[in-house]
Amino acid sequence: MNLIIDKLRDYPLAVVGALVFIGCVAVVFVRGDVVDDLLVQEAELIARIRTINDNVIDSNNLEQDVESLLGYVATIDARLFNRNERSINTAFFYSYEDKLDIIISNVSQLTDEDPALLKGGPNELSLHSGIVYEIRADGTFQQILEFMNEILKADALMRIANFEVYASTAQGAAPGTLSAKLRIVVLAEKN
Amino acid sequence: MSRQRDIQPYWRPDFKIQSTLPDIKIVRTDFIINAIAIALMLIAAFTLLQSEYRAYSLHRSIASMVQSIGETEANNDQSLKESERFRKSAQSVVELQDFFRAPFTAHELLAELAQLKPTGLIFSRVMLSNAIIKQKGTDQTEAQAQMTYEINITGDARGLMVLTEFKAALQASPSLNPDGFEVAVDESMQQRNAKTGITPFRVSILLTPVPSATQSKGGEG
Repeated sequence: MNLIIDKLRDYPLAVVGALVFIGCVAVVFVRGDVVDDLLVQEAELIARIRTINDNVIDSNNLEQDVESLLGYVATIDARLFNRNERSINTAFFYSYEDKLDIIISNVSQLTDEDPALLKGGPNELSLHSGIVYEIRADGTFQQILEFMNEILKADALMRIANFEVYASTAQGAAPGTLSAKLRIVVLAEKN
Repeated sequence: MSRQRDIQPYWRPDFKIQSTLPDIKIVRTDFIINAIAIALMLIAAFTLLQSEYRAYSLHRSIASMVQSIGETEANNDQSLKESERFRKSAQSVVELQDFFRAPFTAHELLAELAQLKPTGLIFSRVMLSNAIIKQKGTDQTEAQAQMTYEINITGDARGLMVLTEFKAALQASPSLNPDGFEVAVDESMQQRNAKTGITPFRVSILLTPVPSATQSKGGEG
């Protein structure tokens, strides 16, 4: 032991250097993870700042867009059918008789919804629902075509899903009179 | 660096005791040991300092970023709320588009068929129907519900050439060949009435959606 101590006494500078080296290595070893942790933290913060910047860019003029969009939504909502107002809804379709000089023989509000608008359907609705009407109308080809066009142009939001047009078989029908069976889907308030 | 040695008891060195002899190497052992020790110390110290400086810089950078985020947090929350309001409002408009999604409108289809009808062909019934099918996209993702449409026309034809002409007109009509659909036109005939020369016919037009890559609905929240 004394021999070693004697030897170390021969190299005091080397001993001091070795002690400093060991100390430095120990500190580097103990604090080695600090830099890695800080790098991870820095990367997370950079990503967060980037997201915030993207949000700022994306939200440019968003308030005006939202206000404008809410205006459209209010217009849509005002034009929705209420499925409980059956008489009003039915009268709406019969009103075309006077407008177009067409004979509407039947308007039926069906209880089943259009499967295309139900959950899993190709045009699934989540904020609205669809009411299906079956309408039978008689008139000339021109009148029926006009009726179909008016349905699309109506204030209420509706479209003809299916139709069947054929030569009228009604008694006393004038020659050239056609019958139309229309399946109309109307956008309505959510159930 | 000079080294203290024991006082030499002899009046001249005993060359048999090597430790008492002077160090005559070109580079002295003392120098090598000290140089290595100092070099290692410097390397370790430099590494430590570099690491600590890096940590210090990162601390400062992180503190600056945290402060910056803190200052913009309120605006960001407001933007996110606006974005959520926009998304919800847009959903209503998207549903409206979905509701009206169809390859053609009924009255336009009927008018188009009437326009394409050649003289010598009489329609007795025109019918549009639709059905829902489940179809996988080209990327073989989960099958999605899609609409198929079928138009059936029945009537009487004065001669088969008129029917062929009508079929060709249907196939060539842009309105009856909407984008994203495969169109198949098929005709069938009943026996010709020998007295009148009229052949009852039925033309069927089937529109099937073309499989496409799946598209995600809406954007990120």
